[in-house]
Amino acid sequence: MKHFLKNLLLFAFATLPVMLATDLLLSRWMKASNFPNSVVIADVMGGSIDADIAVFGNSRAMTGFDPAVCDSITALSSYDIIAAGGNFQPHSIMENMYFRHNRMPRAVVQFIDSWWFVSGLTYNHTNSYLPWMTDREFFKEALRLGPVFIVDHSIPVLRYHSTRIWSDNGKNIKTYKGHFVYKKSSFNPEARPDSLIFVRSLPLERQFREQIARMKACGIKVVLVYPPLYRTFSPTKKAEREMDRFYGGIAEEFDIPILDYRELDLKDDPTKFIDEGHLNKDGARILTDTLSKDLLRILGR
Amino acid sequence: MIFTSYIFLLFLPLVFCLYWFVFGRSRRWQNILIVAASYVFYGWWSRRFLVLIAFTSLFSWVCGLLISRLKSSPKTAWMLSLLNIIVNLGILFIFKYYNFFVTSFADVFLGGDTHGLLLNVALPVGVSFYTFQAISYTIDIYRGKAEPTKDIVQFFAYVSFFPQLVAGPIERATHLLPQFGHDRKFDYGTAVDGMRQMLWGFFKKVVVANECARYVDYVFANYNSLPGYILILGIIMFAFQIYGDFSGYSDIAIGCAKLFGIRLMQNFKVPFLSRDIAEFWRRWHISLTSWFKDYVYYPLGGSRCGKAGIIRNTFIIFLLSGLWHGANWTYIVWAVYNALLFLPLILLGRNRRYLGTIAQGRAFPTAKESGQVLLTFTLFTVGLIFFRSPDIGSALHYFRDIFPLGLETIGTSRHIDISMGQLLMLLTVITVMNIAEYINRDREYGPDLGRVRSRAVRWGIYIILVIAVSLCFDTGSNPFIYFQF
Repeated sequence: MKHFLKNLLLFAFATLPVMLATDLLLSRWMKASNFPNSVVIADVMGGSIDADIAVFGNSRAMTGFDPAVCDSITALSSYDIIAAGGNFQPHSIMENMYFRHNRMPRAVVQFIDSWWFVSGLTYNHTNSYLPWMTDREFFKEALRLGPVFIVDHSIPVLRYHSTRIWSDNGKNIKTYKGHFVYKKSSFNPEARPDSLIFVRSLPLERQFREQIARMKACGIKVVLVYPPLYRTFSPTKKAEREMDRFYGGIAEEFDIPILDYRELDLKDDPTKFIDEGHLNKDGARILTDTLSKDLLRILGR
Repeated sequence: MIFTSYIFLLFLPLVFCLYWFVFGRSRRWQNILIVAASYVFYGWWSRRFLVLIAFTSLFSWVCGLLISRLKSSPKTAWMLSLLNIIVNLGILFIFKYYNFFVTSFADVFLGGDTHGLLLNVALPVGVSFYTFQAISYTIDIYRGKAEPTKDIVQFFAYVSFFPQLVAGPIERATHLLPQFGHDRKFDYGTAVDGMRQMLWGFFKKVVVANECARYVDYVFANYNSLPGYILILGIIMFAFQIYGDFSGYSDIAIGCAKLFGIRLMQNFKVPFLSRDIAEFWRRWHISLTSWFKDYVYYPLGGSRCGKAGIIRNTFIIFLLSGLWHGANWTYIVWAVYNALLFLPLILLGRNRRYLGTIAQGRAFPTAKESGQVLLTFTLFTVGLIFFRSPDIGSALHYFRDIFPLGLETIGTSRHIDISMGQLLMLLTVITVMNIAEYINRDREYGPDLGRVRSRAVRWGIYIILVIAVSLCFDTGSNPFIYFQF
C-alpha cells in the first residue's frame, strides 16, 4: 500500500510541471487566437479600445449590435465588448477591466432583459476568461464570482475541459470592434418556448446600481436598451411588469433614458433572427440603425 | 454521481482510503462501507430510487434464502424463483416498458388516445442492470449453481456495488458474491492495473466517445440537409462513440473495482476485430449476451432443437436484447436485423468458427481476415442507424438520404459545424484507440503499459492520457449512453 501511495504521489509530482507547462502554452495560444472572445478580451486588457460608445450586455447585445452601422450613422467610434461576457455577474469583470485600461467612452449602451441578473456558472459563458485567469489582476477581479468559479477555472489544463478549443479556434471568424456574425443555429419559428420570468438577484442588482452610479460619476451617458425578441419568446405579463418596474426605477433614479425596441417591427420576422432570442446579421443592422439614430438624439448631435 | 464528474474524483479517493486504512482489517465493515458508498453514489442522482434498489435487494435476498431452505420441495422453490423473476421484471416493466406498450396498444386499438393511461415516472438509472443481477441470483440458487448468502450486507453489496451499479458489467452471483465473503488484501499489481484500466476507460469515454458525440449529434439532427458521405461518416462515428462510451465505462468500472480488490467480468473483447457477426456478439457487451444465453437461450433449448426451434430461440434472444436497450420500435428493428445476420451462421453451423483472437501468432491479419473484419463492422454499423434514430421513420429517411453520396461536394462547401482540425484530431484519437487495442487484443483491456520497462516512457504515456482526458473532460453534457438502459 505504501509503495502504491508513494508512486501515486510521485506521479502527481511528475504530472504537475507538465500540466503547468501545457496550461501556459494553451493560455498563450488562446490569448493570441482569433476566437472573438479572445480578441475582445485582448483588446480590453491591452487598452487598445478607443471608443466613444461602448456596448454592454449579454448575448443579445453581442448579436444585435453592429458597430460598423453605428459608426457610419453617428460618425463616432463604437465597440461591442459583449463577445467576452455572459450576464451581469461575469460581465462586470469585463466592464471594470475596460474602464481601468481604456479611454472612458462618452456613452455606454447597456442592453437589458429578463436574464441580465441570472447568476450561476451554467448561464454565464465564462470559459472565455480561462486564459486570463493566470493574470493576477484579472484573477483578483474574478474572485467575486465565488470559490466554485475560481476552482473550476484554476486547475491547470483541467480548467480547459469542454471548451472545444480545437474546433473554436480553427474557424477564422472575423471580428469587427467586438462584433462578429454569429453562426446560424436551428430555429423553428413556430415552436413556442416557455415564457420567460424575470430573474432577480438583490446583490447583483445592487452591484448594477453601483456600476451605473460610477459611470454617471465619470460623466458617461448611460442608455438602457430593451432588444427585440422573436414573438414566440416573451416574458410573462407578470415578469414584464416586474422588469419594467425595476429598470424604470433605475432609469428614474439615475435619470437615464430607456430605449425600448421590444415592439420593433422585426419581432415578427423569422428571417431576422438566428433563434428566438438573438438577431441575425440583417436584424442587427436594422436594430443598430434605429438605435444609432436615437443615440444621436440623446447625445445631442 | 457519474464517473466523469468532479465529485467522483473526490468520492473515489475518500472511499478508497476509508476502505483500506480505516476498515482494512474487517471484511464486514468493508462491505458495509461498500454498501454505504454505493447508496451515496446512486443517491447523488436520485434519492427516491434508493428505495427501489433496497427493495429489489431485500426481496431477492429473502427469496434466495427461502429457495435454499425449500430444496426438499422443488415446486415451491421453483414458484419462489418465479416470483422473484416476476417482481423484478415487474419493476422493470412499470418503469421502462409500461408507457411503450400502452402507447403501442393505443395506437392500434384506441386511435392513439392515451389520455389517463400513461404513467409519469422517470426511468431509474441502471434498473436494467441491477434487476438482472438480482434475477440471476435466485435462478442460480434454484439450479444449485450458487449458494445463498445469509449475510444481508454481502448481498446488498453484490446488487449495489457502485463501480458497476448503473451500467454493468452485469455480474453473476457465482462470480461477484463470493468475493464479498472473502478477506481482501491490497495488491499493488492489481491496484496499479486498475488505475491503468480506469485511465484507458476515461480516454475512451471522454476523448473518443464524447468528441464523436458532437459530430454524431449534429449529423443525426441535420441528416436531411447533409450529403450522403457525411451521413456515412456520422454512423461510423456513432459506432466508435457507442463503443468508446460503453466499453470505456466498463473499463472504468472494472478498474475501479480492482482498487477495492474486487474482480468484475470482462465486458468487451475488441469486438471491432470480429470476423463474423457471431464472433462480434461474443465480444460485445459480454455480460448481457452471456446472461441471455444462460438464462433464456439454453433453457429454451438453445441450438439443440430443430431448425424451427433455433430460429425461434435466436429471434427471442435478439428481441429481448433489443427491448432491454429500450422501449422503442427502433430497438426491435435493430434486434430483428441482427437476428437475421446471425441466423444463417447458426443454421449452417458456422457460428463458432472464430473462437480465438484475430491474427493469432502474427503481427498483422491476412487480407481475408481484414475483409471479414471490415464486412462485420459495416454490417453492425448499418444496424446502428436504427439504434441511434429516434423513430423508424427517421431511420428510413437517414438510409434514403445517404444516396446520392454527394462526393462531388467534398471540399467545395462547409457542410458541417466541425473544423478540419477537429476532424483530424477525432480520427487520430480513434486510430490511437484502435491500434492500442489491436496490439493488445489478447489482453483484458487497451494498452499493456505494464510491459513498458522504462518508467519515463510509461509515465510519459500516462501523462499524455491524463492531459488528453483533462482537456476533453465534460462533466455535464455527455452522460454515458448506457445509463438510459
